[in-house]
Amino acid sequence: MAVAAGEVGGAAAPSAAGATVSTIGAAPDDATLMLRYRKGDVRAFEMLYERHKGALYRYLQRLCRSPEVANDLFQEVWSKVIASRERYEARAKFTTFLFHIAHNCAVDHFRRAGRPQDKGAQDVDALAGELPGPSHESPDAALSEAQLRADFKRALDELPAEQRDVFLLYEETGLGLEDIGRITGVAMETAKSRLRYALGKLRGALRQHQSPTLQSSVS
Amino acid sequence: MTEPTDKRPLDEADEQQLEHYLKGDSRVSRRYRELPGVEVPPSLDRLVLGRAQEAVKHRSSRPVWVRWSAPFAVAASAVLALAIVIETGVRDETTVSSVLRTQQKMQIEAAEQSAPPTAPLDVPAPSQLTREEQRAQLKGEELRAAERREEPGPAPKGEESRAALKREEPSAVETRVPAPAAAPAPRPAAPAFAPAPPPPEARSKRYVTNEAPGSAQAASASQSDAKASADQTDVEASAGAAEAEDERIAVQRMMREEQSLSAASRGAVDTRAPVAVYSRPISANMSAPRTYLDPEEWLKDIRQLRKENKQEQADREWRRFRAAYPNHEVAETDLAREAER
Repeated sequence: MAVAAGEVGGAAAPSAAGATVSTIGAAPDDATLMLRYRKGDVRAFEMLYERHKGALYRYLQRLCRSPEVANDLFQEVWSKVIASRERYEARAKFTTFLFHIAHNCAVDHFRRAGRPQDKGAQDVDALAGELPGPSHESPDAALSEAQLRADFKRALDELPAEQRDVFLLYEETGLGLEDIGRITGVAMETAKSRLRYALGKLRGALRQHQSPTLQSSVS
Repeated sequence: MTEPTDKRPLDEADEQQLEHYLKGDSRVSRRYRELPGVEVPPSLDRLVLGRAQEAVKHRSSRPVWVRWSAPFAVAASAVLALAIVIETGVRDETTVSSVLRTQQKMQIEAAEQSAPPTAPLDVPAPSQLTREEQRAQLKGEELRAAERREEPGPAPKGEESRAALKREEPSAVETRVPAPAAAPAPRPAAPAFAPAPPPPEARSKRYVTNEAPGSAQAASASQSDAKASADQTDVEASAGAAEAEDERIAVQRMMREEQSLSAASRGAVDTRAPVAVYSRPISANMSAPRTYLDPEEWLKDIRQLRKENKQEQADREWRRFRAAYPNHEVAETDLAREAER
């Protein structure tokens, strides 16, 4: 399931949902931490930050496709969380609250910067160089794998912003389509439709690297 | 399988792929997770956590007055509102009571003018006075007593009242008025109601003064006394006394009403009153009925009210008039009469 999105790269911080699952019975939930921070417990905020910073940062960077912009938006989002602690009420999931702020910040950024699609995907060769391949594979296989990841990354970057937004939210937060619709300000059916189109395009990118015999297994 | 586009309608295969993806463990998800990890720069971590810490410190370092400002504001508003309400009420009472006092002084002057210049010490019995004189005396005496009550005195109220009672005793004997025992005891709520020593010219009207407090005991004592004096006169005088008695009862009733009204207005001004005095709406005082010494003047005013088409007020005045002067002859066709109608 998508709740494991926080395990990307192995060293990344766990996603919100993943953290919640792994800390059941061991650590307080997000809402409790936020309420504790509201009362002045900085340690509670640190725990909350550790839980969600990785997913939020990935979401912002892959949505905006720029580390600099992602850094700015990341700061902005957490600043808003800090500022709104007095008004925070545990009516919805903290993840929904956090990513709703992040989505709005990103939309504002796109509005200021112009069309989000204007910036093209990174050069595939450059991207392929960044992607590490399994060391046990042969050079050809490693190259093929790197190429596959680069193509997938490019396909992700080339998704329309709305579709990319929904896909990233689903992968990073583990929230349901209803919550994603709430975050993005659309109906659940619209979110579902966007996710379906995004999946189709990403699957197409993967299909180009598969042998004809594996074509059917992809779909 | 063709690549879906935004314009292409979604088919069942897409739906199935979506369902498969939503269940988890799809190839797309796996590929996404295999993308290189994106780490939050440590400088960004420090920045965010520093801000969070600063925000909490800033909050806790708020001065005490800021935290208590809201409760203080609410309390101050409540006190202010209460003070305004009380102050407004007291001012209304003061205004109305000063108006009433002026009116009473004018009436006292009128009563003194209409009263005989020097009344002998051994005055005639009440039954020997004409009805008009009795009424004038009664009114004048009552108003004077009210005025005396309003004037601040050096002695405490209780002592003053007791002294007044003591002073009353001999004169009561002199003029064959109800015994002092029948005189009303000063009420704790309004001790100034105790009869005060009358001025020399009013001593002849002692029987009225003793009844002034309006107590039921005094009224009944006065009635019995009036009856006793009526027995001593001839048949004609008895009839007149009976008539006078009825009239006196009505006058007493009216006096009680007026006294309660004046007591209320006086209570608002007199800060020495031992009980808490609550303000009354100004409208209550403004609608205080005027007191008349002359029934004809009263009738004239009622007629005037009818002419001004203030029927309700005129009817009210007419009823008051009838209560005060039940036997006063008023022509059947008089405009002042209530439309019984």
